[in-house]
Amino acid sequence: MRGRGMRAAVFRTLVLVVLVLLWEAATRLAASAFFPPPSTIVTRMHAMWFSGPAGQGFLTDLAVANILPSLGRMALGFAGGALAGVVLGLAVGLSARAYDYLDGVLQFLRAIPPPALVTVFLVVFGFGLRMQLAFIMFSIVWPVLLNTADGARSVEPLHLDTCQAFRLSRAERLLRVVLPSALPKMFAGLRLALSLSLIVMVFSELLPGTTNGIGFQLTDAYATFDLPAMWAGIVLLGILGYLLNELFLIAERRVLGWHHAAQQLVD
Amino acid sequence: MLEIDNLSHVYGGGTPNAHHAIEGLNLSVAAGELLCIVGPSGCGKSTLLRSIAGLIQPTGGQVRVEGNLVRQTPDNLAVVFQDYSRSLFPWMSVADNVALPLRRKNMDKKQRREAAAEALESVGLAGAGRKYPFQLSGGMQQRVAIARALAYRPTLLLMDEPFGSVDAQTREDLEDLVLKVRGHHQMTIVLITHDIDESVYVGDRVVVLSKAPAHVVGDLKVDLPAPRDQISTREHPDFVHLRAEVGRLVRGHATV
Repeated sequence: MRGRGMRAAVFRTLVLVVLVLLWEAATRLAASAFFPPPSTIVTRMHAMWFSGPAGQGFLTDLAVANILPSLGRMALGFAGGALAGVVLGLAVGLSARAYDYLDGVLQFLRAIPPPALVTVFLVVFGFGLRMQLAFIMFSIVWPVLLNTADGARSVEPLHLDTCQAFRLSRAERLLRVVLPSALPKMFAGLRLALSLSLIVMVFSELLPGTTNGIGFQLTDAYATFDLPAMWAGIVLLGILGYLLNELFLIAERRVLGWHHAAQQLVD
Repeated sequence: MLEIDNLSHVYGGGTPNAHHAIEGLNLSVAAGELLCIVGPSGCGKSTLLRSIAGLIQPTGGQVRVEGNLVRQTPDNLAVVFQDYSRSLFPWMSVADNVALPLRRKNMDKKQRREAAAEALESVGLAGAGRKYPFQLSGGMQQRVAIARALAYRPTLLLMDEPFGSVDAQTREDLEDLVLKVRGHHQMTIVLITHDIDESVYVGDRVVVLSKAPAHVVGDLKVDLPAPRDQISTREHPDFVHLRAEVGRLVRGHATV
C-alpha cells in the first residue's frame, strides 16, 4: 500500500517536471515575448514576492501589499458566504415546503454567472472593499446553500424516527443528527465555493477602484506590458488554488473521517 | 401497562390505493410481561409498533401506555429497530450513541458516561465505547442499539424484528441477551418478529396477527421452564407443541 503510494507520488512529480521542462524548451525555441520560459517566471516571482527579509517570512513588501489583501478578501468572503449558505441551507432543507417553493428560485440564482451581475454590485455598493466582499459572498453562497439543503433533506428516516422515539429536543436533533447528516454534501458545496471564491476574488480585483491585490498586479502588469509579471501572477494563483484545495481536503478528512470509513466498508 | 383498543390504520385513506394495515386490533399487556407479536410478513406488525411508539397517529382506535393516551412518544419508552445500521448514528462513538438520549434525563456528563458504560457492559460490549459503529459487526451494532435502549431505563421496551438482520448464531446470542437483561431491569417488553420459534423461545406470551389488515387471531401463554436454554428449551415437548400451534395460526391466515 505504502510502496504504491510512494510510486504514485514519484510518478506525479516526474510528470510535472517533464511538462515544465517541455514548456521551458518550447518557450525558449519560440522566443516569444508573450510566452516567457518558466525559469524567467519563477525568477520573477522570487524577485517580486519571495526575496524579502526572514523576519517577514521572506515576503517582500510587494507581496505583503498585494498577496495578503487578496487572501484576506477571499477568506472574509468565503467565511461570510459559507456561513450564510450553511445557515440558510439548513433552514430551507428542514422544511419540505420551503424547499419545494424555493428550489426553482435558488437553482435560477445559482445558474447566473457572477460576473454578469458585477454592474449591479457596483451600482449598489460602489467601488471598493465592500463591493468586493459582497460580490464574493453572493457568488459562493448558492452552491453551499443548495448542497446543505440537499444534505439536510437526505437525513436517514430511521435516524429521525430514532430522534423521536428517544424524544430528543429540536436543538439536539438539529445539531447532533441533521447537521452531521448534511456534512458530506455540505463539504462538497464548500469545496466548490472555495475554488469559486478564488476566481471571483481575482475578478473583483480586476475592476477599477482596486488599489492592491493579485488581480490588481495582473492588470498593472498587463497595462505596463510586463509579461513575466503577468505570468507570475497567473502561476501564483494556480499554486494558491492548489494549496487551498489540499488544505480543504485535510480538514475534510478530519471532519468526515467517520463518513469515509463507513463508505469504504460499504464498497 | 399497555392497552390497545380497536386500533385501525389505513395508509393513503380515501384513495384507490388505500392500504388497510390494521383493523379492529385489541390487545393488552401487563406490566413486566415479555410479549412476542408474530405474524406473516407485511401484515402490519411494524405499523402496530409505530402506533404504540407514537411515531404514527393511527387512523382509528386508541393506544394507552400506563393509562395515558399515546399522542406522541410516551416517556420511558424505548425502541430497538431492526435496521441497526441505520438507527445508530455513524458520526458518534458507540458510547455517545448510547448516552445521547440520556441528555434529557437530568443527568450530568459524568453520570451519562457511566450509565452508557454500564449499559454497554450489560450487553457484553465493555470497552467498546470509543469505537465507531462501522467498526463493529452487525450483531455487535444491534447490541449497541439494545444498550442504548437499556441505558434509557424504559418501563416499556419495543423491539421491531430486532434480530432479523443477523446470522443464526448471533441471533441466538441476542435472544439470550434479551432474556438476561429483562431479569435485571423491571420493564415490559414487546418484541415483534416473523420467526415463530423465536417468539415461543423468548416470550412469556405470544400474540399471533392475521395478514393485513392485522387483527389478533391467537393469544397463547408460554409456560416453559426458566431459565430458557437454546438446546433444552427447544426440544421441550411444550415448545414443540406451541411452535406448531403458532405456526398453524400464522399459516392458516397467511394463505387464502
